[in-house]
Amino acid sequence: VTYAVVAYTVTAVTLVAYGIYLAREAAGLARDAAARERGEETNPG
Amino acid sequence: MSEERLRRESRMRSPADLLRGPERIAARAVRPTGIALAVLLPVYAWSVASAPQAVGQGVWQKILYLHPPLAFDAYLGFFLTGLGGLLYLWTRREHFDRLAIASAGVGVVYCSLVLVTGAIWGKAAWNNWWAREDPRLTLTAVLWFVYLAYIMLRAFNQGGEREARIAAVYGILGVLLIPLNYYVIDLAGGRAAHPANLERDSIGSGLRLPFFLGLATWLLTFLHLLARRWVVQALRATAARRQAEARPLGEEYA
Repeated sequence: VTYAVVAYTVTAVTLVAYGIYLAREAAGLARDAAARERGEETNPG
Repeated sequence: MSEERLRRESRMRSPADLLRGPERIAARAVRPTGIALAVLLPVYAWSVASAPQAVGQGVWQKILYLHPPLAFDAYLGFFLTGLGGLLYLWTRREHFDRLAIASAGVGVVYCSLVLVTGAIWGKAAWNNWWAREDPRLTLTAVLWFVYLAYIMLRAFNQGGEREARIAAVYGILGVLLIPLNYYVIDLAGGRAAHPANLERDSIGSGLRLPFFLGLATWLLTFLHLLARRWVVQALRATAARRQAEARPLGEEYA
């Protein structure tokens, strides 16, 4: 059981973490773009 | 601040409103694919849990519903990198170059998982994390390194048309490894540790439903992540372009 559980867990955790990273990155970039539209200072990073 | 302006600004925060063409479609695909995934995942989990155990094998055999689907999607990611590069060379439209970058990124994540889940399966089935005599293991590692190098090439350079052209050719050449990786079991003529490639009716009837649900679930996950990754790449390009436009004339020579 352990091998299968480890394989499924590693896959799920990796893909969920990658999805969260991409969602946060997209939200940050979209927020910066909206702030730039308003002419505010944005974080260059 | 007027209500109309507030509404306009909140709309501007949506990535789909900042992008055009196929990248806008990708941004709009994120939510429906996520919802479809939320529906499909419990069905897949149930089918894996309730699938009968193959004769003479342990529960580890259920990695069958994970490892090959991940491998097919890694192939798809690298194929799309080559296709994006080819379309970029043909049309010079930057969104194809960004598709190539995005699919290489998701492909490498999937290929990493193929290597990890394969090693776990190998340990369970052969008592060996890495069967060095198996040509598919070696070729999968080579494929992983080839596209990891592609990602590094794109990440550590300044961008621009020349880099995109070189990367497109590299990405297209890398695709040649995919059929070799798939058919190497046949070419090895019984010397490979991997079982023969799956063929029609080669999976027992009780194992088919979880296997095909696995194919659908991990493909949908791949498409969801690819849409997200493509959107990020497009937003980064938009931000870089706007910063370049905002820079006063001559600043680059300062």
